Amino acid sequence: MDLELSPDQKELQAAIQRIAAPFAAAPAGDSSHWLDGMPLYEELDSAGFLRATAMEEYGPLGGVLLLETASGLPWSVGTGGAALVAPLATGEDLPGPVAIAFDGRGDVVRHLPVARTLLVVGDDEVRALDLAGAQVTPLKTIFADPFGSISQHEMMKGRVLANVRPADVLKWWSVAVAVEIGGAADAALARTVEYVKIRRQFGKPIGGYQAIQHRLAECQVLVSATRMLARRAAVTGDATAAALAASYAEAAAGRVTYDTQQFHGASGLTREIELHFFTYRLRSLQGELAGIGASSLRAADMRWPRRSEGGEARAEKRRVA
Amino acid sequence: MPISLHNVSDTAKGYNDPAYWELHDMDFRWTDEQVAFRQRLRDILAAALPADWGEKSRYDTSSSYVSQFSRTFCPMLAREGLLIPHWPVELGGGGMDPFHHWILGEEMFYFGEPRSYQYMNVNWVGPAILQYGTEAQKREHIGRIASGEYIWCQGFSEPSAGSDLAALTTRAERRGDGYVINGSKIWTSGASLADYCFMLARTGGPGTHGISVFLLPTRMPGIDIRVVPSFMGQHSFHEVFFNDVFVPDEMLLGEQDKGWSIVRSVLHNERIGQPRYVLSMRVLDHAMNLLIERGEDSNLARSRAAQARAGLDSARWLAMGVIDRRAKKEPVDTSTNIARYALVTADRLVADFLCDFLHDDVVADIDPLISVGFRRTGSTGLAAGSAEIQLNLISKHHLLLPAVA
Repeated sequence: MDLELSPDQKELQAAIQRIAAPFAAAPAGDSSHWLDGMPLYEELDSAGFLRATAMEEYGPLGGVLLLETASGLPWSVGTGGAALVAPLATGEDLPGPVAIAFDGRGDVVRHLPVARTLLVVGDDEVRALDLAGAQVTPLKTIFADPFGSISQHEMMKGRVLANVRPADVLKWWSVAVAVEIGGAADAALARTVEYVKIRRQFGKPIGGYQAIQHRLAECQVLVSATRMLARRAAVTGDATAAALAASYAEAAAGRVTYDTQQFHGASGLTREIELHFFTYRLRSLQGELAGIGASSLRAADMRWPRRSEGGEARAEKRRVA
Repeated sequence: MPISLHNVSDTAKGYNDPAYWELHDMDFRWTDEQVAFRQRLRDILAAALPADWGEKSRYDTSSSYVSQFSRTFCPMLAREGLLIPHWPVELGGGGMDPFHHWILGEEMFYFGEPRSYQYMNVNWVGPAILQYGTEAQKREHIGRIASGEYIWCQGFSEPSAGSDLAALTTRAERRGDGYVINGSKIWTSGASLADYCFMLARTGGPGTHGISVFLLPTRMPGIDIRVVPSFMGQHSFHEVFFNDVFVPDEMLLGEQDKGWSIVRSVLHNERIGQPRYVLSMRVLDHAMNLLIERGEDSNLARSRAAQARAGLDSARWLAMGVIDRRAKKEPVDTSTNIARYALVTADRLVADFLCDFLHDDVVADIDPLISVGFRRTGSTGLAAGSAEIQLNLISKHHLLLPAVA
């Protein structure tokens, strides 16, 4: 048991943060819905950071540390697929960025317009689609990352990855979503905490009101716990822990989004400040894996295996009766 | 310092190679030695607890049954070297690290704490006496704590001093070679079971500077103890009245008027002192097994159970983060308050789950585990400093928000 980053891991984290530093803020006066962080992605890639997970001194935490930092930047740097999910779930070195979609749900896929590979998670198989030449339609959204759609026909052109289980992709995708929610929620909270220290109403900073303090303190608990559970799931590679981490994070995302927006007042609903990059990223992450109900159910089915198919029906019957 | 990650493929192990998962330093797994320690505790508990422990104890730390049980159970643990395994060897302990202490707590709390309130002795009463006590006080108390003979209670809260503990008004007036105590305590857990009380009284002016700690027997002339019936447990709450109780100087712990610094260190040990989530995890597993057996494990129930479990996991691993800091001898920080608040919210999810999906069992009060899971939740946000105080401390010391006017 050792819950501290090792010196190697701390050094890696610091190095990632150094490279990311120029991207810590949005350009002044910019009012985009999302900022294209591909230049940073390429810089991280050429320096080898996207392959940190493969290095024994970092392990899965290599990818986690990268994703924690990346998801806390206003710029969209889609490292989760290439740095964490693809290597650990497929063992393959797929060209990144790597987007991920459920089979049959190609309408709204995060990072698809900038990705080079699409992982398609089916019921029984996993496919990898080389996106060079694939027909991808970018979507216009307000959700802080690039989204695109792709037809089912195109998705099925991907090659089937032998011996790769859909459950493993789902596991690492859950870890990635939990890590990203932790990073984005941390960034949203940090900006809000600074804001309530300077925003004054009724003659004092609004951060001096207990009504606000307690809710922000609760957000801090959610952020700390999200990060801890996500790291634990990554380091242990445990599927139940991954589903639980996603479930916890998805609940936290809604709450942190609401409170951080609320305490920014009306300006939290504009593009004049950076908050929207994190709140809208949180909102899209919240449902990327079909939401808290689905993640929780996955965790429950692993923790408490079902005895029979009939449980749901009998429970329904009893409730009606 | 630049860091180069080129040529990684040369060092990469296959992800399916078990060795890959053993290589990194941050580690959420127990060592073989820790696993063996836990197993030893489980074997001892299996042998020591009666088969109908659940029925007899109702998992109630404060019951007469459990407190009586502790008077033979704790001496047995002491003989096995398991009562104070985390105390230094020179003080009769096992010199084990805080993780072993925590494993011990988890295994005990899984059964509703068969040590009864003696868990407080070994967690903080003993350490406080070791740190602040005179040689005579150590001679008098440490041996008894270490051998599992005595039950202690904590005389802190008063009718007008709960969260604002420093407002306490029970007075200890100087008289001759000692003090005369007048006043009252309330919500004192286990007072009618206890042999000794670790109590606070005002010896000086108002505020934190005039408070002293006394170590006094509960059976002294002038002390009147009454049970406050509650939903929490048989002897969870008491009122303790002090009417001209004379205590000699030898019962003062540390310096007169300097008790607050002792209290502060005690509270830090207490906030993350009990792995309460362990029993809640057990209750939740038990509840789900009941629902599965009855064919009532709907998707809705499953989903809600997992959300409660995620909360309990967060409480466990945030607490483990606190223990990790303790093990590394890092100073106490707000991770303690954060972990405590996570526990409060998690316990609430468990109670909500029980009320929603095991309504009949909760109301009928026949299944000890379901009942304790429901009942205990009520006190999680109050014990060891209220949930709102935890939020105040996170706001002030972690988020560094401005003081509330």
